[in-house]
Amino acid sequence: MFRSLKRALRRDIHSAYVPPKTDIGGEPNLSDNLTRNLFEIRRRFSNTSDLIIRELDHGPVKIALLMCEGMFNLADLNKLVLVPMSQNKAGTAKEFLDWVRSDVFFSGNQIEIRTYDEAMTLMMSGFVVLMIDGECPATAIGLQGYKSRSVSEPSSEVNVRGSKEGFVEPLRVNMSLVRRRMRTPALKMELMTIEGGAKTDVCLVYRVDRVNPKELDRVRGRLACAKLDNIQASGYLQPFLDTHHLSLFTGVGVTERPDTLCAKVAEGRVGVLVDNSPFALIVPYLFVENFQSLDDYCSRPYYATFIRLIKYLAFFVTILLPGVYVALVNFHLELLPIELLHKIVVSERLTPFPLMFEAIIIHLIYEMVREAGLRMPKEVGHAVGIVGALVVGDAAVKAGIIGAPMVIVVALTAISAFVVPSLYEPVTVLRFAFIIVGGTLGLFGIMLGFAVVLLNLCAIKSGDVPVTAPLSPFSLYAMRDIVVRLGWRTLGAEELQVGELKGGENGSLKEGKSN
Amino acid sequence: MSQPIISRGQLAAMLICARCFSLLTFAPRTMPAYEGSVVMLSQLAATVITWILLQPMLLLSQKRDGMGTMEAAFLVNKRGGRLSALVLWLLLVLLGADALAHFQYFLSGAIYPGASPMIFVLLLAAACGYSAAMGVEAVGRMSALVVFAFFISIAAVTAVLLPQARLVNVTSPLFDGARPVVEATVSALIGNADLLVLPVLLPMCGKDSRAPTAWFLFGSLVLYELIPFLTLTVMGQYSRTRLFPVYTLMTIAQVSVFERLDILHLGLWILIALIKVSVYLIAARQMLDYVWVNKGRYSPLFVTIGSTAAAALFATYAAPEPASPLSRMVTGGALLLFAVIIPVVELLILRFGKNGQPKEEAK
Repeated sequence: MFRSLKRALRRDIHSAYVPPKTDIGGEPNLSDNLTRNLFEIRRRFSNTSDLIIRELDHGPVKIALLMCEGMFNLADLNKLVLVPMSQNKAGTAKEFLDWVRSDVFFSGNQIEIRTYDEAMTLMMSGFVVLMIDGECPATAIGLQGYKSRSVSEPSSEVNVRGSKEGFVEPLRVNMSLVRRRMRTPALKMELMTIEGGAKTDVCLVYRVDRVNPKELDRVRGRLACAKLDNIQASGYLQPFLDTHHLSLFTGVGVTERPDTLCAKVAEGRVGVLVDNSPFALIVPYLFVENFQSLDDYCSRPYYATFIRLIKYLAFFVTILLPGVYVALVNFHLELLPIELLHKIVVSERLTPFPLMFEAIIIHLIYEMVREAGLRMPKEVGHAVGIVGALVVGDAAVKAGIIGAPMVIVVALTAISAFVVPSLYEPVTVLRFAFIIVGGTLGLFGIMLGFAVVLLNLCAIKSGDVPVTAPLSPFSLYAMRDIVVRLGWRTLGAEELQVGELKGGENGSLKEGKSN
Repeated sequence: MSQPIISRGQLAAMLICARCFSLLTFAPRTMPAYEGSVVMLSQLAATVITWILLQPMLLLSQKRDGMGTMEAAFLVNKRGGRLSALVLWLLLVLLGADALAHFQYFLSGAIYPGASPMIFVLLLAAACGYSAAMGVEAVGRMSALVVFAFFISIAAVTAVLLPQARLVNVTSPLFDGARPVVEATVSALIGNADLLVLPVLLPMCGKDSRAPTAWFLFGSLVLYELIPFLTLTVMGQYSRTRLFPVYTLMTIAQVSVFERLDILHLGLWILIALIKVSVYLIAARQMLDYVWVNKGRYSPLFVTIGSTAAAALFATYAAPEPASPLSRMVTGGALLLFAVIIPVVELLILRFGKNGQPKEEAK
């Protein structure tokens, strides 16, 4: 799986977008001989057991219905297709075909197809294919009825006052969730198929009046290069949209919420919905957006600002606190207040391990406990909390293996990490890096490491917009929703357009939006 | 002129960071030291004179649609341009090495006494090399954030220390006559080696070169007035006895549970040092690109970083007391040459050509 991903990444990710072929000349076309068609379909499907072919005699006309088991709705097939067919009096294949084309409405999604590839792809997408002996074009009828998860509250992005609907696996359902929230004709949903074995459908969601056309073309081109055999999650496509693969931080956003996606699309971004994945991708994505949530916009501005400040503080606490603690106790004891110094030194002198080693071990144990809690069956999940609390929190301290201040540091660090869940991956790695750097080089090393991380962040661009925007390059009008969150009377007066931020293509370094 | 790579504010921020590094790590034992009031007056005079001296370079940029001094040198004469680029590369490498060595001197003198200097030099050089590899855009964006944080920290220190300021320590700058002021002004002029990166970086922010230059000079002046004022009024003559008076000043500033604010400032100073050396490396790499054509993307960078690190190690071990009068004369001469003389000559040549007629651009 990863080899194919690696091969795909090595390809030129800057190749231009190639639109899908409209000329089907050269592809094997359906025949007007029904028997030959059915034989060919069975051969291509390798006689799979879930292929259902039902041949019917409609008077003198031979027809066949082809479908995949479990993918179609039997009740709809009966009501919308079989019943009308039974009432039809067509005498020839041509008359029947004309009747299907013009006089009957089987489904909201009815497509005429001419190739085997189309027929197979649509059957595997839940369509029922109607073939008529003596006529070449077949008709694909959208009667999807496969089982899927119903729309429920997103598990990874919980909000108090926001909508309780989250994306689900079927792409069409997700498209409807977005369309329902943005009833503007400017909203465009562009379907494309990722070339590869799985032929996964993706949908680009954007507003034609706000999106940057060059950014849109870039997204199309990068997705066109993602020729993966198997796409089971939107995360498979994320590296193809990212520009800096070696960076800790990403310029591609992920969301499980349709309301969040709509808000981002309204700012001129491109959303990418992936079939069979409840997580949508968003490009471009700024670093400060990790600290924004939909609840911020439902609360009063003073409270939303307070929560934002807590999130920023939590981010710094979670990456720096363990490293700074280790650095201070190892190298800079003079910086600690006397009372605190006494308690810390007494506690740490009783433990057998060096402080840096202690910090690494305890954080590793915490990560193992967290990962175990995530993966183990829910029935025994509560045991993880008990084991974690007992082993890590109580027994280890009483046995003198780790100091009590270290447990407090770990607890604060862990809680802070969940305040900004979208940054959990980079903060976890950075935490360990800062512990090692702080334990070996003191505060000098911590600051040098912080400088390198900051530089790394400043070097990333999401699309053509620096991810550090609007902090740097500074944009005063965009700062109204960064550290502080102004009221809706101000926010609603003029909507932020991400493409107009300084550093982007539309917002030059000289001008941009400044008021 | 192509699109600007960095904004005017980012360029000014980079230069302010580079300039204030010298102020923060000022060591009276190793550099010419004058009375605080003399310093404040001489800095003002030096800023005005600098602005005047930079007019030819700014005029060249304005007249030639953002063209830099080195680009103009190539236009006038390719060999001369190459030679100028090589000399400037060498100077920038030495200045970067000097900055590295001096910061090591500060860290091992004030923060980590007894620590091995090599570790500081190598780590800083590696970090600065990485920074230079990230490009001027990344360094520019980071500089803007760092300068903002730095001014906030200085404002906090000022607020804390002002109640302790004793204006009786402020004497007349002309108490000992005009000579100290003149000497200090000359010293300030030739000590402003950061101006050497201006010819290289100005073209990167587009046609408007006056605004970033003016912001840089003004921002530097504010710092060079405020910090000496605080040092003079809070510490008085005691500052002359300290190895790093500004660091001692930050140590004195105490607020509530943050009994020592110097650690916060140390973090910022490390960032400032990183930016300063990175700016020199970026400018030097640009010069080496002119000289060493078609050698790939990273070769000039590795050569520049390696040379700077080697020179810094040499300066650390072989010349632990930096800034001899000879080195300051070299810096002053280079400033005069690259920031003043060459732009004037280029302006004249490009304006009048060989026969006194406006010269067409060389193909």
